[in-house]
Amino acid sequence: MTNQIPIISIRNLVTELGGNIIHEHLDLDIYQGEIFGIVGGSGAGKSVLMNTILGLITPKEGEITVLKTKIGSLEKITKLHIQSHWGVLFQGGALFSSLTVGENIQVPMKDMEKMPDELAREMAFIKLKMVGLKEDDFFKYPAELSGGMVKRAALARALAIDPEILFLDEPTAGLDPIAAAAFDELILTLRDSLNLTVVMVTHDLDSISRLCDRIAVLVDKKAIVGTLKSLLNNQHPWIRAYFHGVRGETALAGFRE
Amino acid sequence: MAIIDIQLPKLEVLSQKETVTFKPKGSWVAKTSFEAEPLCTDLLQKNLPKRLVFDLSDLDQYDTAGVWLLQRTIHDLEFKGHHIELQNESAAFQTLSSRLSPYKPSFEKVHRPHSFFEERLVEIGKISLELVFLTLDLIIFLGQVAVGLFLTCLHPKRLRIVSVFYHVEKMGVNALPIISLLALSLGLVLAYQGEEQLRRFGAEIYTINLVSISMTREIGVLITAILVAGRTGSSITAQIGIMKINQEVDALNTLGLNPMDVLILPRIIALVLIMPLLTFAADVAGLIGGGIMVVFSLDVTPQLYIHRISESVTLGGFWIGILKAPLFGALIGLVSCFEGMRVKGTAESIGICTTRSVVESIFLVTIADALLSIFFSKIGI
Repeated sequence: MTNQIPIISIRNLVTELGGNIIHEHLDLDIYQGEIFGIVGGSGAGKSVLMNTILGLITPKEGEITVLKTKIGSLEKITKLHIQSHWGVLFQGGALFSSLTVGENIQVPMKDMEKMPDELAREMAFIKLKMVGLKEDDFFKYPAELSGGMVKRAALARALAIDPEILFLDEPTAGLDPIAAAAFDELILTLRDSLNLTVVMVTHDLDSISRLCDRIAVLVDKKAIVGTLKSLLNNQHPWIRAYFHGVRGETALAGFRE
Repeated sequence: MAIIDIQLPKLEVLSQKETVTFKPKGSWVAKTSFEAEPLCTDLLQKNLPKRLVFDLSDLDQYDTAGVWLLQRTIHDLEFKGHHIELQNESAAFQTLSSRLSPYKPSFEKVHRPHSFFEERLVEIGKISLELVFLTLDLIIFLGQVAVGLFLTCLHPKRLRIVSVFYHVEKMGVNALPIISLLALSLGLVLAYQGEEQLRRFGAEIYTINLVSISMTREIGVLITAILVAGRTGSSITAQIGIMKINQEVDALNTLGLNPMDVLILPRIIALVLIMPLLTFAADVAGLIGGGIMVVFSLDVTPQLYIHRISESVTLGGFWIGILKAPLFGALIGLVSCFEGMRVKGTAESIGICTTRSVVESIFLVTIADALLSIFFSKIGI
């Protein structure tokens, strides 16, 4: 399933925010069809890395290529073009607060893809149920939703136009374990049926062991990339503490067997 | 620069004796749904035999939108009594379509339109209820402010002095340049226009009276109030509104801190304190502006200008202007804090409340000024 075309490739990335160097000469390749996890301590620059790939933060040095298109020096048309190939789930959901959930999901369909109205509404309904929300939630405003529901609605919006790359920033944080497990299953199905590439920033060790084909650990301003198996044998102190801590041992017990 | 080639969606029709075979070709994805949908709707209009076959062997590309379109068409055709057979569906197509089938939207819930009159009736009801609640909220808010002020008078230590002076600096000192500039140019304009009209009577020397009296009594305080409402009132509303959305107000409550003491009273008190000072600055700037005009066009020396001002401006007139200022400050503070606390949940509501805050402040200030003008002229000051 994982073939050797990098769908996202990062070379020699240096990012600086407010005088602090976040990433220093970071290299990363993400291949088509894989579920790629990004982990790291708080403040290690996981979200910054994602925002840099998305073009929201301009790096100081280095080159990011997504779908053979260089990010950063994009003209408006290519930018629009590439944006219709990815979906993003932000940490806080980032739903448009003045639109209902249904309208939120339809925004990318109607404005980017010019989908016919009725089809867009039906698709919005389908996506809504796909992520486990009820029909009544279609007409609710984001302010009326609980935290978990906001997350699901935001996922539905990210999936609205079946993007090739799905960026997830802490998708299972704030979900109950049942919903989180259902979410993991959903991602797997989508990947298998749509050949989706998923880039997820997460702390959820269960999700990591269940989903991720490869993982990048952000330590010392660089990325250490490997499969879960190879990272379990890595001797870096932070990685050892992460995977072999109390929580890590419990969550990964099944994986080791 | 196509990243992944997208072809136009096509639906090939192969007619045999008893059956018709449909072969979807090309890309059936969200990006091409605009072209794909008419193909499907056309199909439903046609007169077709009982047995239909969908051959999916040539379907290059599809996503949930495409699969749903085909599924919906098949479903609709089956509903019309056709017998449908699917051929050569790939495993991936099957998983995707099996995931979709339990999600079929129930359409009756999508739209239940009301009649025109029903909708108007609902609207009127909503507006009246809103007005009732607004009045209640306003009474409660005024009561809270009064209680807060009363308690502060009893226990002066409750007042957050540092916060008050922080706001005095932000709202007062930092507003000085813009208010002075505005008052100066207003003084210039007033003197220029006044002089042109008064010259016809040969009474151009009275320009000085016109400028000095109107500036100190009315215009100085009004322009200050309008500027403060626009500059400070809006920022108070937006700030408190964001704090409400971020649950900072709730956090204050749970920490045993009253938002009234922490957020609202310091701002209102600061506004009451700075308004007279800003008004005085505006008066002075306005008189200087008028003076520049008068000195250059009327051949009056600065000494004479100052002398005429001291003759024309009575102490009463000057104090009326200055004493109206704290009242206007309190009005602006009350309105902007009240609107800030009314913000609910959405980004849109911050915009609405901020606009309302500025409009209501200026409206109230103008009304209050008009009433006071009548009052003062009746009692003969």
